[in-house]
Amino acid sequence: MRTALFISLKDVRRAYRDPAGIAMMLLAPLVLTLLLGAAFGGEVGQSLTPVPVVLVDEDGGESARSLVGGLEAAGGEGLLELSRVDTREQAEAAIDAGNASAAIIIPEGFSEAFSGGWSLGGAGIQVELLQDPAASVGPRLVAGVLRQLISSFNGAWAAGAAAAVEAGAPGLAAIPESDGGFPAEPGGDLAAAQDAAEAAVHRFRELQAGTQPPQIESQSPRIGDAEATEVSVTGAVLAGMMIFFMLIAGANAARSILEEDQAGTLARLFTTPTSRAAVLGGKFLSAFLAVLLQAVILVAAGWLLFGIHWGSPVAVMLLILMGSLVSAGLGVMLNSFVRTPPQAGAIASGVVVFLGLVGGSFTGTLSAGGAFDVLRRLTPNGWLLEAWDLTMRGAPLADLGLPLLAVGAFALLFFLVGSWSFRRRYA
Amino acid sequence: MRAVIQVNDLRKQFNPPDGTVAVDGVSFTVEGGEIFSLLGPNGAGKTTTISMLSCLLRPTGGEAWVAGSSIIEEPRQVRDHLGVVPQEVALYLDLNGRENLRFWGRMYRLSGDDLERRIDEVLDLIGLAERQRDRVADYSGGMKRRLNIGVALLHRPEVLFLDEPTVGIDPQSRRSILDGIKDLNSAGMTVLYTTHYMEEAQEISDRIGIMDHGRMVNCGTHAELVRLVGEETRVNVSIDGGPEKVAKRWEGLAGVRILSREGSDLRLLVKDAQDAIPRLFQQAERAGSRLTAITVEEPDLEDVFLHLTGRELRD
Repeated sequence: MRTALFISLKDVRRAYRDPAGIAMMLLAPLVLTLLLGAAFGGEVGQSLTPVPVVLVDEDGGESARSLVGGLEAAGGEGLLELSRVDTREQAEAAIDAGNASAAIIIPEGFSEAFSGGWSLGGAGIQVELLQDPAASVGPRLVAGVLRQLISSFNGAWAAGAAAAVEAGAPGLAAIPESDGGFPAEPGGDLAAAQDAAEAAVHRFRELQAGTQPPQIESQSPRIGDAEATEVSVTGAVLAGMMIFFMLIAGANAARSILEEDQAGTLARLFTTPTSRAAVLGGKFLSAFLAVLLQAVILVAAGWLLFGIHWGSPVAVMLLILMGSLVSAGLGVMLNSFVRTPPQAGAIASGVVVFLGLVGGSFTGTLSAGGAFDVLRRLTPNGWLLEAWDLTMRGAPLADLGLPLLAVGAFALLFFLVGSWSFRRRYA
Repeated sequence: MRAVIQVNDLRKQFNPPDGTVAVDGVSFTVEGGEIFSLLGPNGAGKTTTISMLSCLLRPTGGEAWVAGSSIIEEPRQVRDHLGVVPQEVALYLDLNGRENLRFWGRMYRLSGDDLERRIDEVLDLIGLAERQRDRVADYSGGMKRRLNIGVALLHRPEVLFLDEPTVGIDPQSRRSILDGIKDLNSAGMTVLYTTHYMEEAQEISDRIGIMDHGRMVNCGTHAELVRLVGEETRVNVSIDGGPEKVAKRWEGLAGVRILSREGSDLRLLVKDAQDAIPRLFQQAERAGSRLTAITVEEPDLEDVFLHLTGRELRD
């Protein structure tokens, strides 16, 4: 064990004497974070910039005001920067001038249709969303907010219908059958059903007028019993970059196996009383220490330079440790299969970039959702990002159990495969 | 005197069963306190032999013991008694001389004051005390070679293996290394040395094993090996005009063998020089040429190698 430690300390000393290596390990992730953070969020250290949206309320009725209230609540959350104009033409002009990324038009008749009981997106009436074709992220965010608000309106009708059925009405004719309503049954107490449904909708509208829509509240998710903390864009980006560059650093550090093989020092090590297990252990440990040091410096730099709130110190330490383990394991595995340092450089870069793309290192903790969320879990990056995201949001340690277990499994798998290949090669 | 290195029918075939046989049934013994050289051209199997004895390569046949331990059964014990100087400089160029020695000393399980004291001794021995804080990358070729040897001496090994340690260095550094090896041997260290420089083997060795094509062709002291050439004498001549015609005539003479020809200079091995030399002049005259210089020498290891293999050592 002491011999392995001496080998690793020698390697770490050599790694940190190499200016190009230091630039790759420390400067590159910081500079990239600075650039990406600025690109996503304007000034580094801030959250997402609110999307500028113009609103035209052509209806002016009670339900329209309710919808506007929901949008204003989203503005209060920092998602939208809402401003009102009087006409559709003014809204289009604002988009053309680049003053808004999207415009929401609430058409005349919106409240009447809602009161009449028609589904908003169905046969009755539609809220329009105009968007700046040059922008991509902003309009999608606005569409998402709007979709949630409208769902809540439609949900009112579902609740009303359910209330009516539960009240014992055998049929509900408040929504005509041709528009998707329940068919009226002969002998059913139609008047009672209508009364129940209208009462439910009325109650929902009252609640909605007095409160913000629950879907908007969910933009700041709760994790476990703890109040969630918002994750800054810079934090999300640096977490992704840090994981990516930790894997690169692990591969680079473990490449010293091949460099020593070429320089003849590996063969010379084998002529000393040092066992092969100690040599491999030393190489793993050196990669682990190099990455660990890199991660500690990056986390500290993120906190000091960008004001990133990483979360609980214990969780951060655990994440750094596990990230370093999996990076070192991957490095040993990749280098055990190739012959020369240039080969190792090319292959490791390819593998780490692939893992970064699939695992989400370049999008930070911002999830794209869908199949991507499944795929990213096939990589150590994906699990590490998930764990960093949870930590930055203030999740309790228990919530990190599964991601950390998955990362540990990857680390073990990588090390075992690398160890097997190393022993086979240098038997 | 006990045998410190005992090699019995050692064999190494890469990628068996069809791969190259690099060492083919080599046997020899090195007594304690001896300098034993393996002499042979590149590809003779010297480095493969020393790699097997260093426990770097596993033999495909035979057995060997170093300092009483089997290289196959007890490699760890073998390494404890062994210092190996590889053919290429195997050092960390971005560390300084002292840092290199400290690291390798730890690999030989030295530590603390003992290690630091031993580093100072070795630095004095190899003449690098003044440059110990300089990066090895900034050393000259000779200094690197000396440090390369110094690393193998840190743990005071019983046996020292040196694999062509003077390749590619200046004559002054070579002299320093050869003198150093003789000093170590005088202090009781057993040395196994490989080289393709005949003069080096001749100068430092107690006994020499001549290798070619993976086989031990012959083995003995310098005098014993030279006696193998028999009564032959080496004759070097320079010819003025038509050396090809002269060489052709000499090839037909009894007791005369042409070793080599470089331009107008020929090297010959002749039996009974007193009888042969007048005949050489006679045949040169008949070919219309003239001998401008002639020297007669006792045969050396080059001649021995030629005698044993039919090829020159430099081939």
